[in-house]
Amino acid sequence: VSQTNALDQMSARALARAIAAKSISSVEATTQSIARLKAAHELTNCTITLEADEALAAAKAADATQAVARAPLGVLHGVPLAHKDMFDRVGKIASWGARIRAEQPATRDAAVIERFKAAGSLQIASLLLTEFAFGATGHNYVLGHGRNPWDPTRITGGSSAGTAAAVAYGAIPAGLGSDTAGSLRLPAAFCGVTSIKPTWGRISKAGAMPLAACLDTLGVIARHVEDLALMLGVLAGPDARDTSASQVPVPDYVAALDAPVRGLRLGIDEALIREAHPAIQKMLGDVIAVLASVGLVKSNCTFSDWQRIDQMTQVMQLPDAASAHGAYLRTRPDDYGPQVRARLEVGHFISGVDHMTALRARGTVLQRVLATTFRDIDVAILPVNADPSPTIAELDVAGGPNMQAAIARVIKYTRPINYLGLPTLTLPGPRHGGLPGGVQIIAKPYAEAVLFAIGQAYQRMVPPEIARPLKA
Amino acid sequence: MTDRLPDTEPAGYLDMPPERRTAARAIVKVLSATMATVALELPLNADVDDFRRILLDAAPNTGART
Repeated sequence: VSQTNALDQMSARALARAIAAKSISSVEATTQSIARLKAAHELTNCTITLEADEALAAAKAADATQAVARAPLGVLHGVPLAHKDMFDRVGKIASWGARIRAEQPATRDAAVIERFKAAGSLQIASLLLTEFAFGATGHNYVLGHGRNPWDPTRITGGSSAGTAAAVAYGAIPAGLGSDTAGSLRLPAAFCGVTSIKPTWGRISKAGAMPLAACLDTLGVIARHVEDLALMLGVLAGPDARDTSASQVPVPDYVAALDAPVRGLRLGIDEALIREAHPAIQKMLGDVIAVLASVGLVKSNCTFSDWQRIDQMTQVMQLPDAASAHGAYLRTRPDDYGPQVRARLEVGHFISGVDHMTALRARGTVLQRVLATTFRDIDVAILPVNADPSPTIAELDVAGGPNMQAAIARVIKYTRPINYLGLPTLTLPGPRHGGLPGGVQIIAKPYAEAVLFAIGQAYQRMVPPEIARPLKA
Repeated sequence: MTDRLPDTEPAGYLDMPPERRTAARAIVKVLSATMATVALELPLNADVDDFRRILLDAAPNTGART
């Protein structure tokens, strides 16, 4: 294996160790990462802005610091990453995946950017997202659609499309995304990588572009579960700038990676799973078999009222997003792409009473799910994608009459989880030579450590892969 | 802008063609019917802050809460 190939397969954690041991420099790692990202972009349209010069200068500085360090540096010291282009960064204007952007550069980094910088990581690029992070497929009618690295005629999933494509290709080991109705999970599933959508409020949203703040959850997409654990440990915790950021203590997620999983009860809602395409049911069955082989115990569970919760999520999300975009939608409607514009408009038709009812009912519904669905299980498993990877053309519904039904099917298994605020780990199923798909493991509030232990055990059996176009 | 729309028209301030208004109304009609059933079951004292409290109450006991 050449060094280039070895580097593209390394986890961020392993790369940080190699840089700390001086077996590779940050400049070498960053140079190679930039080259791979250029190739990934050609294939997938994953990059909005490449920041090669800035990143190499930062890498050079990281190497200089490393050379004289007398104590351990940050856990991501010198590691090149790239993130969804929706976070404030000093002196820059984030694209938001849109034509409409802030008028002035940011004067302070988003909390997640600050924390990654404090841990020593570099940012080599800002990555594609669907317009305003409001899209589940990776279509972006303003900046161009994302293309799947396994088959560029197919969707990446969205909205964190560029992060998933770049990670899957091996350009970067991990990057930031966000999830309001499935935007970390869907692209991870369609691109064949992992993601963590933590408990709502686990990560500060300060300085992140809002879509629907009552549902928005920041998280990480990576090939290796150990990177999800490492990075959530860096990112999680309270923040004076975001009152919704949780005060619950942050455990040592990395230490939890090797916790025993034998005996954990895996909840399976067979009726809900049967609503997925047969190929997805088969893939989910393969994952369950792997998890059973490492000691998880299969158990039945029921997510009752799934469709109702999905509708309540929409009643929360649409007015929230419509309100955030209230000024631009009135003054610059033609600067929106057709799909986002049509979806935002719907939010203006939902009554304030219905919106408040959905907000007020959220605690009651969560309490019922914890008391019933999770009564006799530790975690539950569901598909992420209901159907095998569609082509970009098949889901090119823009803002037309088929939009609502098409999007609803794509996010069938993801959107209700945002209403519940539960932490969810995405794992790619065994591919057997075909296109990837993903499952989500859903845990109780703040039980991310359990998810990481399960994910680590799974990846010992089904190792991460690098995406390249499949032969026809 | 569609300033010819009557004040009573929902979102009359938005520049929307009739077919998108019709589609939006159809989507919201379904959602509103669901919310009517939710409202019937929801106690008077249900509060938006219940959600955060229940998340916190369900957190694993990892030591002192701050």
